[in-house]
Amino acid sequence: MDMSADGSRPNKAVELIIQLSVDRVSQLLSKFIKVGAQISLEKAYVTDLSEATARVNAEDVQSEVIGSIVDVTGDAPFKFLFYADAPACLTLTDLVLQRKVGTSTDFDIYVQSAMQEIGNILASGVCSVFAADFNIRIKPTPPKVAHDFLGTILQEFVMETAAESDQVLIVESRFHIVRYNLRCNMFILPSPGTEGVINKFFLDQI
Amino acid sequence: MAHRILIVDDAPIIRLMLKDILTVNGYSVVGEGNDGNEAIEKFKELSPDLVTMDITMPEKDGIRALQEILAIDQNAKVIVITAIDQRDSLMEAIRAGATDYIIKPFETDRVLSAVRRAFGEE
Repeated sequence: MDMSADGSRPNKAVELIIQLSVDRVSQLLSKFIKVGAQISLEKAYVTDLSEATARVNAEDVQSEVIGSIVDVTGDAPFKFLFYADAPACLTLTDLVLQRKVGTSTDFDIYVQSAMQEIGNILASGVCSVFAADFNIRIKPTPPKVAHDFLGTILQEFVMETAAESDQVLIVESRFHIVRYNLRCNMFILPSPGTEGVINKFFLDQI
Repeated sequence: MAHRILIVDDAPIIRLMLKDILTVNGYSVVGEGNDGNEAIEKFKELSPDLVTMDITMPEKDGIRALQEILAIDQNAKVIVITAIDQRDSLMEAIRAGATDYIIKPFETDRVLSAVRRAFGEE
Protein backbone atom coordinates (compact mmCIF):
# COMPACT_ATOMS: atom_id res chain seq x y z
CA MET A 1 0.00 0.00 0.00
CA ASP A 2 1.23 3.46 -0.87
CA MET A 3 1.12 5.52 2.29
CA SER A 4 3.73 7.94 1.11
CA ALA A 5 1.46 10.25 -0.79
CA ASP A 6 1.35 13.88 0.26
CA GLY A 7 -0.20 14.51 3.66
CA SER A 8 0.07 12.61 6.93
CA ARG A 9 -0.07 8.87 7.23
CA PRO A 10 -2.79 7.05 9.14
CA ASN A 11 -1.70 5.03 12.17
CA LYS A 12 -0.52 1.39 11.94
CA ALA A 13 -3.84 -0.13 13.01
CA VAL A 14 -5.66 1.82 10.32
CA GLU A 15 -3.05 0.80 7.72
CA LEU A 16 -3.61 -2.86 8.64
CA ILE A 17 -7.39 -2.69 8.53
CA ILE A 18 -7.27 -0.87 5.20
CA GLN A 19 -5.04 -3.51 3.68
CA LEU A 20 -7.23 -6.35 4.93
CA SER A 21 -10.36 -4.54 3.74
CA VAL A 22 -9.03 -3.90 0.24
CA ASP A 23 -8.01 -7.56 -0.09
CA ARG A 24 -11.45 -8.66 1.05
CA VAL A 25 -13.20 -6.28 -1.34
CA SER A 26 -11.09 -7.52 -4.22
CA GLN A 27 -12.07 -11.14 -3.47
CA LEU A 28 -15.76 -10.26 -3.17
CA LEU A 29 -15.82 -8.23 -6.36
CA SER A 30 -14.17 -11.12 -8.24
CA LYS A 31 -16.69 -13.56 -6.79
CA PHE A 32 -19.71 -11.40 -7.63
CA ILE A 33 -18.75 -10.71 -11.24
CA LYS A 34 -17.06 -14.13 -11.72
CA VAL A 35 -13.95 -12.46 -13.17
CA GLY A 36 -10.67 -11.66 -11.44
CA ALA A 37 -10.28 -8.10 -10.16
CA GLN A 38 -6.74 -6.86 -9.50
CA ILE A 39 -5.90 -4.00 -7.19
CA SER A 40 -4.09 -1.44 -9.33
CA LEU A 41 -3.75 1.38 -6.83
CA GLU A 42 -4.13 1.57 -3.11
CA LYS A 43 -3.26 4.56 -1.00
CA ALA A 44 -4.35 6.26 2.17
CA TYR A 45 -3.69 9.81 3.22
CA VAL A 46 -4.84 12.40 5.69
CA THR A 47 -5.51 15.74 4.09
CA ASP A 48 -7.19 19.08 4.70
CA LEU A 49 -10.78 19.02 3.61
CA SER A 50 -10.21 22.06 1.41
CA GLU A 51 -7.60 20.09 -0.56
CA ALA A 52 -9.36 16.74 -0.53
CA THR A 53 -11.65 17.21 -3.49
CA ALA A 54 -8.83 18.66 -5.58
CA ARG A 55 -6.66 15.61 -4.82
CA VAL A 56 -9.29 13.02 -5.58
CA ASN A 57 -10.59 15.03 -8.51
CA ALA A 58 -7.26 14.84 -10.21
CA GLU A 59 -8.45 12.81 -13.16
CA ASP A 60 -11.52 12.67 -15.37
CA VAL A 61 -13.74 14.91 -13.27
CA GLN A 62 -15.99 15.38 -16.27
CA SER A 63 -16.51 11.67 -16.88
CA GLU A 64 -19.98 10.28 -16.30
CA VAL A 65 -19.97 7.65 -13.56
CA ILE A 66 -22.40 5.61 -11.49
CA GLY A 67 -21.53 5.35 -7.83
CA SER A 68 -22.88 3.43 -4.88
CA ILE A 69 -22.60 5.27 -1.58
CA VAL A 70 -22.98 3.47 1.73
CA ASP A 71 -23.07 5.04 5.18
CA VAL A 72 -21.67 2.59 7.70
CA THR A 73 -22.82 3.18 11.27
CA GLY A 74 -21.68 1.81 14.63
CA ASP A 75 -18.49 1.86 16.73
CA ALA A 76 -16.27 3.12 13.89
CA PRO A 77 -18.48 4.84 11.30
CA PHE A 78 -17.29 5.60 7.78
CA LYS A 79 -18.59 6.42 4.33
CA PHE A 80 -17.99 4.05 1.43
CA LEU A 81 -18.09 4.85 -2.29
CA PHE A 82 -17.70 2.46 -5.20
CA TYR A 83 -17.92 3.82 -8.73
CA ALA A 84 -17.11 3.03 -12.33
CA ASP A 85 -17.47 5.03 -15.50
CA ALA A 86 -20.75 4.62 -17.35
CA PRO A 87 -19.62 2.15 -20.06
CA ALA A 88 -17.89 -0.01 -17.43
CA CYS A 89 -21.16 -0.15 -15.44
CA LEU A 90 -22.92 -1.71 -18.44
CA THR A 91 -20.23 -4.40 -18.62
CA LEU A 92 -20.32 -4.98 -14.86
CA THR A 93 -24.10 -5.51 -15.09
CA ASP A 94 -23.66 -8.14 -17.81
CA LEU A 95 -20.98 -9.86 -15.74
CA VAL A 96 -23.18 -9.91 -12.61
CA LEU A 97 -26.06 -11.38 -14.63
CA GLN A 98 -23.66 -13.72 -16.47
CA ARG A 99 -24.91 -12.47 -19.81
CA LYS A 100 -22.89 -11.87 -22.96
CA VAL A 101 -20.95 -8.64 -22.49
CA GLY A 102 -22.58 -5.98 -24.66
CA THR A 103 -26.14 -7.08 -23.85
CA SER A 104 -26.75 -4.08 -21.56
CA THR A 105 -26.94 -0.91 -23.62
CA ASP A 106 -29.17 1.40 -21.55
CA PHE A 107 -28.79 2.74 -18.04
CA ASP A 108 -31.88 0.93 -16.85
CA ILE A 109 -32.87 -0.19 -13.37
CA TYR A 110 -30.67 -3.27 -13.62
CA VAL A 111 -27.52 -1.22 -14.21
CA GLN A 112 -28.33 1.06 -11.28
CA SER A 113 -29.21 -1.96 -9.20
CA ALA A 114 -26.01 -3.82 -10.12
CA MET A 115 -23.94 -0.88 -8.93
CA GLN A 116 -26.07 -0.56 -5.79
CA GLU A 117 -25.61 -4.23 -5.00
CA ILE A 118 -21.87 -4.20 -5.67
CA GLY A 119 -21.61 -1.29 -3.20
CA ASN A 120 -23.71 -3.17 -0.68
CA ILE A 121 -21.67 -6.38 -0.88
CA LEU A 122 -18.29 -4.64 -0.84
CA ALA A 123 -19.19 -2.34 2.07
CA SER A 124 -20.43 -5.39 3.97
CA GLY A 125 -17.09 -7.06 3.22
CA VAL A 126 -15.26 -4.16 4.82
CA CYS A 127 -17.60 -4.41 7.82
CA SER A 128 -16.76 -8.11 8.13
CA VAL A 129 -13.03 -7.27 8.40
CA PHE A 130 -13.76 -4.75 11.14
CA ALA A 131 -15.90 -7.31 13.00
CA ALA A 132 -13.82 -10.46 12.53
CA ASP A 133 -10.31 -9.08 12.93
CA PHE A 134 -10.87 -6.14 15.27
CA ASN A 135 -14.15 -6.99 17.03
CA ILE A 136 -15.57 -3.62 15.98
CA ARG A 137 -19.34 -3.59 15.48
CA ILE A 138 -20.49 -1.66 12.45
CA LYS A 139 -23.42 -2.01 10.06
CA PRO A 140 -23.99 -0.77 6.50
CA THR A 141 -27.17 1.13 5.69
CA PRO A 142 -28.91 0.51 2.34
CA PRO A 143 -26.75 2.01 -0.47
CA LYS A 144 -27.69 5.13 -2.42
CA VAL A 145 -26.90 5.24 -6.12
CA ALA A 146 -25.75 8.41 -7.89
CA HIS A 147 -25.38 8.82 -11.66
CA ASP A 148 -23.49 12.06 -12.35
CA PHE A 149 -20.13 13.57 -13.21
CA LEU A 150 -17.30 12.12 -11.15
CA GLY A 151 -16.36 15.55 -9.77
CA THR A 152 -19.88 16.14 -8.47
CA ILE A 153 -20.17 12.75 -6.79
CA LEU A 154 -16.74 13.00 -5.16
CA GLN A 155 -17.34 16.50 -3.94
CA GLU A 156 -20.62 15.57 -2.28
CA PHE A 157 -19.07 12.42 -0.84
CA VAL A 158 -16.15 14.26 0.75
CA MET A 159 -17.95 17.45 1.74
CA GLU A 160 -20.52 15.65 3.87
CA THR A 161 -17.86 15.40 6.54
CA ALA A 162 -17.18 19.15 6.43
CA ALA A 163 -19.46 19.93 9.32
CA GLU A 164 -17.55 17.57 11.58
CA SER A 165 -13.88 18.12 10.83
CA ASP A 166 -11.53 20.10 8.59
CA GLN A 167 -9.20 17.12 8.09
CA VAL A 168 -10.11 13.82 6.48
CA LEU A 169 -8.49 10.43 6.07
CA ILE A 170 -9.07 9.18 2.55
CA VAL A 171 -8.52 5.59 1.46
CA GLU A 172 -8.43 5.19 -2.30
CA SER A 173 -8.26 1.92 -4.24
CA ARG A 174 -8.57 1.10 -7.91
CA PHE A 175 -9.49 -2.29 -9.27
CA HIS A 176 -8.62 -3.43 -12.72
CA ILE A 177 -10.71 -6.16 -14.32
CA VAL A 178 -8.07 -7.32 -16.72
CA ARG A 179 -10.06 -9.43 -19.15
CA TYR A 180 -12.42 -6.56 -19.95
CA ASN A 181 -10.02 -3.70 -19.22
CA LEU A 182 -12.46 -2.13 -16.74
CA ARG A 183 -11.39 0.21 -14.00
CA CYS A 184 -13.45 0.61 -10.85
CA ASN A 185 -12.70 2.78 -7.86
CA MET A 186 -13.38 2.58 -4.17
CA PHE A 187 -13.10 5.26 -1.49
CA ILE A 188 -13.42 4.87 2.25
CA LEU A 189 -13.81 8.00 4.32
CA PRO A 190 -13.70 7.32 8.07
CA SER A 191 -15.71 9.69 10.24
CA PRO A 192 -13.76 11.91 12.64
CA GLY A 193 -12.84 9.77 15.64
CA THR A 194 -12.95 6.47 13.76
CA GLU A 195 -9.16 6.28 13.50
CA GLY A 196 -8.89 6.53 17.29
CA VAL A 197 -11.53 3.84 17.79
CA ILE A 198 -9.73 1.46 15.42
CA ASN A 199 -6.48 2.06 17.26
CA LYS A 200 -8.11 1.37 20.62
CA PHE A 201 -9.72 -1.89 19.45
CA PHE A 202 -6.42 -2.90 17.82
CA LEU A 203 -4.51 -2.38 21.06
CA ASP A 204 -7.17 -4.38 22.91
CA GLN A 205 -6.53 -7.33 20.57
CA ILE A 206 -2.76 -7.53 21.11
CA MET B 1 -47.17 -28.77 -9.55
CA ALA B 2 -44.17 -26.48 -9.12
CA HIS B 3 -43.53 -24.98 -5.71
CA ARG B 4 -44.62 -21.31 -5.59
CA ILE B 5 -42.02 -18.79 -4.42
CA LEU B 6 -42.19 -15.09 -3.51
CA ILE B 7 -38.92 -13.12 -3.91
CA VAL B 8 -38.41 -10.03 -1.73
CA ASP B 9 -35.36 -7.81 -2.24
CA ASP B 10 -34.94 -4.07 -2.76
CA ALA B 11 -32.37 -4.74 -5.52
CA PRO B 12 -34.06 -5.55 -8.87
CA ILE B 13 -30.88 -7.26 -10.08
CA ILE B 14 -30.92 -9.72 -7.19
CA ARG B 15 -34.62 -10.44 -7.82
CA LEU B 16 -33.79 -11.11 -11.47
CA MET B 17 -30.85 -13.40 -10.58
CA LEU B 18 -32.96 -15.40 -8.13
CA LYS B 19 -35.89 -15.58 -10.53
CA ASP B 20 -33.62 -16.95 -13.29
CA ILE B 21 -32.11 -19.57 -10.98
CA LEU B 22 -35.48 -20.69 -9.61
CA THR B 23 -37.49 -20.79 -12.83
CA VAL B 24 -34.77 -22.59 -14.79
CA ASN B 25 -34.81 -25.22 -12.05
CA GLY B 26 -38.54 -25.84 -12.11
CA TYR B 27 -39.87 -23.49 -9.43
CA SER B 28 -42.64 -20.98 -10.02
CA VAL B 29 -41.93 -17.38 -8.97
CA VAL B 30 -45.43 -16.08 -8.19
CA GLY B 31 -44.50 -12.59 -7.06
CA GLU B 32 -41.80 -10.09 -6.18
CA GLY B 33 -41.58 -7.49 -3.42
CA ASN B 34 -39.35 -4.48 -2.96
CA ASP B 35 -39.48 -4.11 0.84
CA GLY B 36 -40.87 -5.64 4.02
CA ASN B 37 -44.31 -4.07 3.64
CA GLU B 38 -44.72 -5.51 0.15
CA ALA B 39 -43.51 -8.87 1.46
CA ILE B 40 -46.37 -9.03 3.94
CA GLU B 41 -49.00 -7.78 1.47
CA LYS B 42 -47.92 -10.28 -1.19
CA PHE B 43 -47.63 -13.10 1.32
CA LYS B 44 -51.26 -12.56 2.33
CA GLU B 45 -52.38 -12.20 -1.28
CA LEU B 46 -50.43 -15.06 -2.85
CA SER B 47 -49.89 -17.59 -0.04
CA PRO B 48 -46.55 -18.74 -1.49
CA ASP B 49 -44.92 -22.03 -0.44
CA LEU B 50 -41.64 -20.18 0.25
CA VAL B 51 -40.35 -16.62 0.60
CA THR B 52 -36.79 -15.50 -0.10
CA MET B 53 -36.26 -12.35 1.95
CA ASP B 54 -33.42 -9.84 1.89
CA ILE B 55 -32.59 -8.61 5.40
CA THR B 56 -31.37 -5.07 4.69
CA MET B 57 -34.16 -3.14 3.01
CA PRO B 58 -35.54 0.38 3.35
CA GLU B 59 -38.88 0.99 5.09
CA LYS B 60 -39.52 -2.32 6.85
CA ASP B 61 -36.47 -4.62 6.98
CA GLY B 62 -36.49 -8.34 6.34
CA ILE B 63 -36.38 -9.41 9.98
CA ARG B 64 -39.51 -7.46 10.90
CA ALA B 65 -41.26 -8.76 7.79
CA LEU B 66 -40.21 -12.31 8.70
CA GLN B 67 -41.67 -11.91 12.19
CA GLU B 68 -44.95 -10.59 10.79
CA ILE B 69 -45.20 -13.37 8.22
CA LEU B 70 -44.65 -15.98 10.93
CA ALA B 71 -47.35 -14.30 13.01
CA ILE B 72 -49.73 -14.78 10.06
CA ASP B 73 -48.60 -18.37 9.39
CA GLN B 74 -46.32 -20.04 11.89
CA ASN B 75 -45.42 -22.72 9.32
CA ALA B 76 -44.30 -20.23 6.67
CA LYS B 77 -40.96 -21.03 5.05
CA VAL B 78 -38.71 -17.99 4.79
CA ILE B 79 -35.10 -18.09 3.56
CA VAL B 80 -33.26 -14.90 4.50
CA ILE B 81 -30.59 -13.38 2.28
CA THR B 82 -27.88 -11.05 3.46
CA ALA B 83 -24.62 -9.59 2.29
CA ILE B 84 -21.40 -11.19 3.45
CA ASP B 85 -20.98 -11.68 7.16
CA GLN B 86 -23.71 -9.51 8.66
CA ARG B 87 -23.57 -12.02 11.46
CA ASP B 88 -25.68 -10.17 14.02
CA SER B 89 -28.56 -9.67 11.60
CA LEU B 90 -28.30 -13.25 10.45
CA MET B 91 -28.44 -14.63 14.00
CA GLU B 92 -31.41 -12.38 14.73
CA ALA B 93 -33.21 -13.75 11.66
CA ILE B 94 -32.50 -17.35 12.62
CA ARG B 95 -33.72 -16.72 16.17
CA ALA B 96 -36.84 -15.13 14.71
CA GLY B 97 -37.60 -18.35 12.83
CA ALA B 98 -35.93 -18.15 9.40
CA THR B 99 -35.89 -21.54 7.64
CA ASP B 100 -32.41 -21.06 6.19
CA TYR B 101 -30.06 -18.35 4.96
CA ILE B 102 -28.09 -17.41 1.86
CA ILE B 103 -25.07 -15.11 1.84
CA LYS B 104 -24.47 -12.68 -1.04
CA PRO B 105 -22.67 -12.93 -3.41
CA PHE B 106 -24.30 -16.33 -3.86
CA GLU B 107 -23.68 -19.32 -6.11
CA THR B 108 -26.55 -21.04 -7.92
CA ASP B 109 -25.88 -24.29 -6.05
CA ARG B 110 -26.20 -22.62 -2.66
CA VAL B 111 -29.57 -21.08 -3.59
CA LEU B 112 -30.90 -24.39 -4.89
CA SER B 113 -29.58 -26.29 -1.90
CA ALA B 114 -31.37 -23.96 0.54
CA VAL B 115 -34.63 -24.08 -1.43
CA ARG B 116 -34.57 -27.86 -1.87
CA ARG B 117 -33.83 -28.35 1.82
CA ALA B 118 -36.74 -26.08 2.75
CA PHE B 119 -39.04 -28.30 0.69
CA GLY B 120 -37.51 -31.52 2.04
CA GLU B 121 -36.14 -32.37 -1.40
CA GLU B 122 -32.55 -32.87 -0.24
